[in-house]
Amino acid sequence: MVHRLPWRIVAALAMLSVGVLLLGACSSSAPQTTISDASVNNDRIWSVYTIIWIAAAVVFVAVEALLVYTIIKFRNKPRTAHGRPVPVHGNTKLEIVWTIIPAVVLVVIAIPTLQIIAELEKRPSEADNPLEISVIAHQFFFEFRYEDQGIRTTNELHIPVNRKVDLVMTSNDVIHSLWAPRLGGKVDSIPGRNNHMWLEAKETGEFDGQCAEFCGVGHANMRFKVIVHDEAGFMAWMDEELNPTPGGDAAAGEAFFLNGPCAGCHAIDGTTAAGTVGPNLTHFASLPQIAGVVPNDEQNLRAWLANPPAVKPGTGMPNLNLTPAQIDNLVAYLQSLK
Amino acid sequence: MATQVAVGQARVEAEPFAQPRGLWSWLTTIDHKRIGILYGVTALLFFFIGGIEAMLIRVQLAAPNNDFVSADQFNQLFTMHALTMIFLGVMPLSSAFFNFIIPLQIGARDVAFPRLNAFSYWVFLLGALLLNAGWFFGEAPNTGWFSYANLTSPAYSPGHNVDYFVLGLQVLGISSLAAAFNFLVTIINMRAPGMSMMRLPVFTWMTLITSILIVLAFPALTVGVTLLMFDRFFSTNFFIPAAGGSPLLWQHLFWVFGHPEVYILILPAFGIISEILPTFSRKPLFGYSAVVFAGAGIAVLGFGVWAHHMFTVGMGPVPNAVFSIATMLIALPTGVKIFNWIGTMYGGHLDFRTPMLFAVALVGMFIIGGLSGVMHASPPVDSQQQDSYFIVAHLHYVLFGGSIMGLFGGIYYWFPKITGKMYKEALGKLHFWLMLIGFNITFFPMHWVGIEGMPRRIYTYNSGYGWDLWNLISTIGVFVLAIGFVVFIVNMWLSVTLGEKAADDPWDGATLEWTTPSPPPLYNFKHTPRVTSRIPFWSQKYPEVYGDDDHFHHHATDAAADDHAAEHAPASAHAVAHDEHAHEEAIHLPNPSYWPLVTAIGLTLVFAGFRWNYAYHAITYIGVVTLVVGIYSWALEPAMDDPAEHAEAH
Repeated sequence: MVHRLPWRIVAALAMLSVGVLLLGACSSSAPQTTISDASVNNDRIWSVYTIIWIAAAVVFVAVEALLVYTIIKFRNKPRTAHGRPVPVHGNTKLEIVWTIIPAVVLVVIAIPTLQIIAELEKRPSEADNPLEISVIAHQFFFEFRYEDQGIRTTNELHIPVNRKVDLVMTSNDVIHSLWAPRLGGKVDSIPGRNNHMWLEAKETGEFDGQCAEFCGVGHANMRFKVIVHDEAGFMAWMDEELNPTPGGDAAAGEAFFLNGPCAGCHAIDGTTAAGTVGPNLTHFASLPQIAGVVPNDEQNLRAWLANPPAVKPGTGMPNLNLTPAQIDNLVAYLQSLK
Repeated sequence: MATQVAVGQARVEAEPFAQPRGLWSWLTTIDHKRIGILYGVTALLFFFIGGIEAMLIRVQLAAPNNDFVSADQFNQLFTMHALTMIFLGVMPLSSAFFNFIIPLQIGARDVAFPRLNAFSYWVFLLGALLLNAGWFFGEAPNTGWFSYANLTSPAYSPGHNVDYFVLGLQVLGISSLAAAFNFLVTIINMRAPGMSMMRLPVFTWMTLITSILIVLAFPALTVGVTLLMFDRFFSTNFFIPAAGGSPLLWQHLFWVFGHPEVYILILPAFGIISEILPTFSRKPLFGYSAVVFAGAGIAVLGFGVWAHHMFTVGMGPVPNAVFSIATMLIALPTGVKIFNWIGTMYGGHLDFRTPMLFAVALVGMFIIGGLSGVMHASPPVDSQQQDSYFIVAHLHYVLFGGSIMGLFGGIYYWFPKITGKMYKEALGKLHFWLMLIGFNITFFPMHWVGIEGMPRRIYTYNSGYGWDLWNLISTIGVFVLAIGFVVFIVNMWLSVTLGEKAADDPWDGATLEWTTPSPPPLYNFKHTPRVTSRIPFWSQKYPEVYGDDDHFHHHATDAAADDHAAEHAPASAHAVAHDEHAHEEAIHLPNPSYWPLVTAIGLTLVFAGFRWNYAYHAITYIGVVTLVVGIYSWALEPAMDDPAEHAEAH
């Protein structure tokens, strides 16, 4: 009885795997990809990552080829005179060889690993003139505090390009993890601890990120953006934060709602906001009351957004420390949701 | 389900010990083979449930912004999928083989403590039910199988969800510990004469190492879960930072258990394919000592790498560097195993029956999982992979491509021995190809979405991140896997009910279990075998190839003392010799007992009472009384009848 492996299936599987990789490499729109040279620290990571990929690819091809060769060469071989293959019990030299070769590969990986650990975990010095920002994670949003400048934002981390940013990370409740993959790796925000991570963007633009440590029912919607400005743009942004122009912009309010802290808990049908922790706000402007306690008018809405627990003690919605400009924009947007 | 197996097994023999029949005989059984079957059938049932949970997860993630399940349902599903597959699927399926095969492989009549063995099974079953009880109240555990503090504290998890996790794991841990001690003692003390440690079959070796790992690793989990239990039920603050506790303490305790647990899951599968590959290559295992010491090396190193799960918690550069190097070192013994498996096949006469296909698939798939594991041994790389789908891909290549491939190989390999029937080869191969292809379609794309920045444990995602297509492909793969599982169940069912009668030694095996009838009689071996070789049955069947046995004396000098008796026995030319005088010996088997079941019920009630704390913890007190009565009755019950009764049967 002959048992043959269906080789065509094996070949098809191999083709499929290669196809998956190629297609993936061609996919153009990946705003959260880890393959990026948009920051100095991600370059550092990839200086190790690339070596490991090459080593892994070589080992993968070599060992799988050996396996496949063995399968093909020795399948269903006719028996020897005594009906059994020649019994071979082992070979000490071979054991030594296939211990030492992987050990050499590991050394090649380990040396740059240790160097980059040291670089990434070193806090920026005064000479780097770092911008220090506190990151306070909450269920389910990130708060960024520019203590020296007196600015607070939620889910929008504005930073200048080509300058080291020194992030000091903690959490207000449970463990979270700040991860904007195109700008580098993640570090956890842990209650009762201050963790550090530095970041130096090389190009301006918006970079997507989201919480990477499972933190509860709103985890999937805990998204944030890193906005990298050029030096002038960053000064203009700070100026606008400190002296906001009056009057709300509904479009800006919608963008803030969808990308800011709101969508972590609230849903608005027909948009990407799909949070389930708080009430659905699809027809907010038609509701008679805010949070079921005060009449739904602009003044109450402003008070509510400024500090929800002050309006309704015990509410699940925390004080988000919204800026006056953010409140203006949100009010304009929310009042358009008939 | 159990009774179905019993029907297939029923053979009335002209022997002193006929197989008992009926439900009661299964509830009171202390026969390692029946307990093995109970473990196996229960594990497959939970494997099915865990698979359903995986399918629901994949349906939810098939498209962006899907609302097939809610966020909380999704969290319950991924938590229970992991807990079910790890504690109720893979571990008990390994236990099924420990139970059924180990006494047969070492030439023993049963395990060292048969009633403790029954107790382990019943505690496992009841613990599994307690862990799953939350489903009936819509509040299954929802904080992940790792359940990081302080998300599990009453403030952030006010429902009962985490209670089922805490109490279920407490009970399951007791089961694992009892079983591990049992197999430690069994393997060290119950080996047949001449079976020195370096003649143990490799599956027995890996079982021994796994048992040591369980004994050393589970107490860390028990401590962690006990502290969490105190935090939740008695308002302590071990893990609550606002009161001075440390959430990172939980992570250390959990991973001191959790990383060795990975090897607890994979080493039995390594052991299984170290039996399958030689059998279907018709060659002894290449580098036996290297494979054994590599397994032991993995186990030792496995205790020094737990914090590689914590590279992003801010331990600092020195701990990250140390744990990184330790983790990379594990690649060495793992590589040694892979090369020796290929060396076993090299020059052999490979026969690609279903068990062999699964064994080779383990080697091929584990290489991928092993290489991605080396990647996140490097903390800078890990900071981009941790908690992303890349890890989901990695862990499934290790635990599915590794453990589960090996365990299914084991099911097909020992199916004829366990049931006395042959499975259908064509259906077995169909199952294999569906599983291998479905597995790769499901999990290979996860590498890519992980690299593209998709985090784990998110119930929804937006379009426009390049994740949509790959998630859809993964979901399609799950359905291929599901069809494969249906084929497997059909095959098992048809084979048990209508299958051809299996030969005693259908694969031309090398180890002692193949010297027994299929299925083996209640007492396994009429006469205790004597062993003078690492491949005793081959040495007996092919003395002209393996008979001289020089090799074994050369390598296993520690066996010399054990061999002394065997070499002076009349039939020493044969590796499996039976002492002529042994015909005189009577077979003593312990009596069935229901006290292990009663004790297990009492133990489970003690813990269940914390969840259902009605009427001044009445359930806990009923449990305590049942437990005490059970233990005392168990201790005072005679283990076996008066030997005189059995003497009459001869």
